[in-house]
Amino acid sequence: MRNFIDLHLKPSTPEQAGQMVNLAYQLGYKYVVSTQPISYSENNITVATRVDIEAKRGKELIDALKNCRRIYDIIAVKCLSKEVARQAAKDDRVDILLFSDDPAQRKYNWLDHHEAELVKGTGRAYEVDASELLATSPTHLSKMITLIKRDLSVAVRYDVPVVLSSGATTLHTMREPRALIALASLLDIDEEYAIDMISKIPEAIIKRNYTRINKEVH
Amino acid sequence: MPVRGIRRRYILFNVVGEFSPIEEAIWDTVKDSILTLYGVKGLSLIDPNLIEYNKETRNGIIRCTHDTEMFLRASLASIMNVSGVPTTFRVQRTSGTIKALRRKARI
Repeated sequence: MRNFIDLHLKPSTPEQAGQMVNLAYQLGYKYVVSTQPISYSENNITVATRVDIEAKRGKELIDALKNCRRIYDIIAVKCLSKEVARQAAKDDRVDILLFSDDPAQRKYNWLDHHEAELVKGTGRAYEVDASELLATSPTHLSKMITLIKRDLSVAVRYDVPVVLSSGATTLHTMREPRALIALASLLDIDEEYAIDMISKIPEAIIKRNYTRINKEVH
Repeated sequence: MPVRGIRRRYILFNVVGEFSPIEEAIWDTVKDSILTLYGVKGLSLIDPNLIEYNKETRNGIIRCTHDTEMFLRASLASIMNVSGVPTTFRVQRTSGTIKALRRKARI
């Protein structure tokens, strides 16, 4: 039996976070990671916290990382420039790399070969948000599919782990695990690997972080 | 010569949203979503058919060909609104026969 994990809920308030966590439980998730602390949860579901650091300069990223490691369970970096992407790829405190959801920005800043070479073997993962595939405009969607597929081909070549998350900002944009797997088929990801992307791979990241945090505490 | 019929999959879905849309709106939205993601060829391969939709319970059964179930699931997952109102389609169950689907879902 797989434990499905949604590594990226982006509620705007702690109350909304609580509602999203409850819905995640109903949808079949056993573990969720939210960018907001939750105010309540009626169900038996494990919740962790996460921060998405957005930086344009390497220095900004280093400063933000100093303050985050002990506060959040998962640290993700949204790479808005090549400099930040390289810094994030080298920094042990970073768990997840994600790139802009704006196709114009992503055209110049993506998971290129040098980036993948740095990430390879470190356990850091590249994240695909399913919300990027829920675009209302077919033109935007086709661009996003092309750009994500380009990143995925590099990730596969360099054995970089890939996680699939909902990236949901509201209850309306949340999807059940099987729906995420179906959306991954738009990126030509086979079913077995897509299942790993929302179960085994995020589980490994969380376990590794807990081990690391426990070592730091003791 | 015996000819084997086309294998089908039946999907039970639930519509979540602020209002309960009518059957025609549901059908048009599903078809539009398939056309957007897979085009006319995809629509022909999936060969979808809305078997039934209950406006009160907001549950419906949709049929597709056996090997295109994933395409239909992706199309349902990518629907964001029906007639301009934010709506989500959640797949509850799938089955190879409509009888088994009704039995499993107790409808």
